Amino acid sequence: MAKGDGAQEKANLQASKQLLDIKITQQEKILDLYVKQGTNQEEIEKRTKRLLNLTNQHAKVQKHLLGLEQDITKEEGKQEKSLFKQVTAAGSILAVTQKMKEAVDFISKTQRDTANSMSVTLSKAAKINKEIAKELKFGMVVNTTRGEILETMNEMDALFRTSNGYSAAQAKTLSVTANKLNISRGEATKLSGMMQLIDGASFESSNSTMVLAKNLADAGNVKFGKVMKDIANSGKDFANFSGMSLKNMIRTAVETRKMGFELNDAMNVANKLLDIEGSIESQMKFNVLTGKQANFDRARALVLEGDMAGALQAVKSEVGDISKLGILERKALEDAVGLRADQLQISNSISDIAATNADNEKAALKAYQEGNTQLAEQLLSKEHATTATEAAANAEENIKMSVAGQLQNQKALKGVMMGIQATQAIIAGLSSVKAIAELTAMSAMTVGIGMVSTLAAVATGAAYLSGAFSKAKAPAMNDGVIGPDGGMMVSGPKGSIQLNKEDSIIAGTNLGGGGGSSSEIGKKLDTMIQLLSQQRTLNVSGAQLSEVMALESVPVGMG
Amino acid sequence: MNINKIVTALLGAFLAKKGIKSIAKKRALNDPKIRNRIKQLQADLDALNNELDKMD
Repeated sequence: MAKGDGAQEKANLQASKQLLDIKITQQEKILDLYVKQGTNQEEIEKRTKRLLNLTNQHAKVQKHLLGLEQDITKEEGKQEKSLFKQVTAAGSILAVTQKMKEAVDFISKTQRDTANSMSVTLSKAAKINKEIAKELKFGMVVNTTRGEILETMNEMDALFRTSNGYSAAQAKTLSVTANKLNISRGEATKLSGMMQLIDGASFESSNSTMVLAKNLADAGNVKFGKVMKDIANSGKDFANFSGMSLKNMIRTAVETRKMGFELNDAMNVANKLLDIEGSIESQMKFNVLTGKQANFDRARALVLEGDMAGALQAVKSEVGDISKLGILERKALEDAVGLRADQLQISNSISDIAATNADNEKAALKAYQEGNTQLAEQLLSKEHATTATEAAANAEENIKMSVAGQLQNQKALKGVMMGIQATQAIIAGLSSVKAIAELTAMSAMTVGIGMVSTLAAVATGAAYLSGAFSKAKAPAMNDGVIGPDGGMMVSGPKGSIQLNKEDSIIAGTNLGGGGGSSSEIGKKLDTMIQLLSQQRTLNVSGAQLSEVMALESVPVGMG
Repeated sequence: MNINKIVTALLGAFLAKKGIKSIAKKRALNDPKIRNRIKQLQADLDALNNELDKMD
């Protein structure tokens, strides 16, 4: 049954109906003419009776036609619903594959990004991303991101000169600490790394020290961020000069800042005071010019002990009020202690207005020196790493990253991508083959000539796909016999039926003869079987057939 | 850009609807039950047409 036959048959039906209408009208006119011409009554009655009978039958057919139209409309609705479901299902698959494609794109991008920023291969980048993804779960999803951890890792790489000096977990912890203390990842990494490299501290204790240093700075009303910047600028020189541990240097930075100085100032004072001959000469000159009795011996001793902040404090005490010093006196002061008069004046003013709580400072200093990790954890847990908006953005990215991190295998990804593209092509192909076939069959007037020609071009491409579906077309055969050859399968609207292995099929037109249907052959066979079952013997062309019991077992209704 | 997208989407929806309707109609007409009824009615109409031809 070729496609489109139903439509053709319906068109034929309508044409026959129209023909019938015309013929009935004609017969009615003829009858009318007979009546007007006065043709004999018997003929008129005969024609009227026949026409009435045919008109009744016509009415019945018309009723059935109407019923048919209604059923076709119903069936159309049913088919439309089913097709819509299919299209929606295909759309859902497309949407899912689109989402998968986006996920794969994201994985590829993050992998390339990690590879570039860490200067590693793609497979190493995949490993790093996977490690980061493992760290970014539960509460951590809001505190930092892959990008921030990578930045920390880069800083650590620069500091340790190797990737073996740290783990992804440490980079994450450091990134979160930097967010919570609101210092840059570079500063946090340098501080933590230097404590590990110079002081021999563990990662955990260096992290705690940073938190406790922030606590110390807070207690002294000093901004921790500024302390960090001071250390970043002068820390290396200061460490070289003083040989001080990082931990002590941080404390010194906090204490000097509290007095209004920076590490660099402390270094200048120390340098000057340790130039003992020059310093003593300048000290005497300063005393002669100002009439003061300044003695920097204690300050010098403190420098030698490594207490820079104490030395600064001692210098300040010895110098006293400097607001009324002249040019030469100020010059002598700078030569003696390495500090300009304005710096000392500012420091004095800061000390006057500073409102600090001595107990708090003492407690904070004690905790810092002891390295109270419990307090450090408590303090850190109270701080927020991100704002609400940042947290939401981080969570979204990290969840995506977590899923992506589990799939970071380039070979597998390429396979997934190819699979997705193939699925999309098949779905798109199936839809367009059907749609194009229908659309190109539409009239150019309905859709527009340009559209039809465009679709025709698309149809050419789609024909390749449709070819794959039409290859399974059944071979044709005229009358003949199909032998068993080890098995026979018959297909039809009710499905495929496996016949007996020994069965043959005889095909032909009008096998019953005389235009009769195959049911007539069945009738003849039934009659023959009936006769045979009664007589038990039969003469056929002179030959006697005995015992034909086997024929009785021919299936009923064979015809 | 957005207008282009909207127009494309509308055109796509229009064509998809037309396509679905057209396929549904063809499928309905090729439904075996419907085709059998068409054939039966065709036979009835042919018979009536023949009868009318005989009247001339």
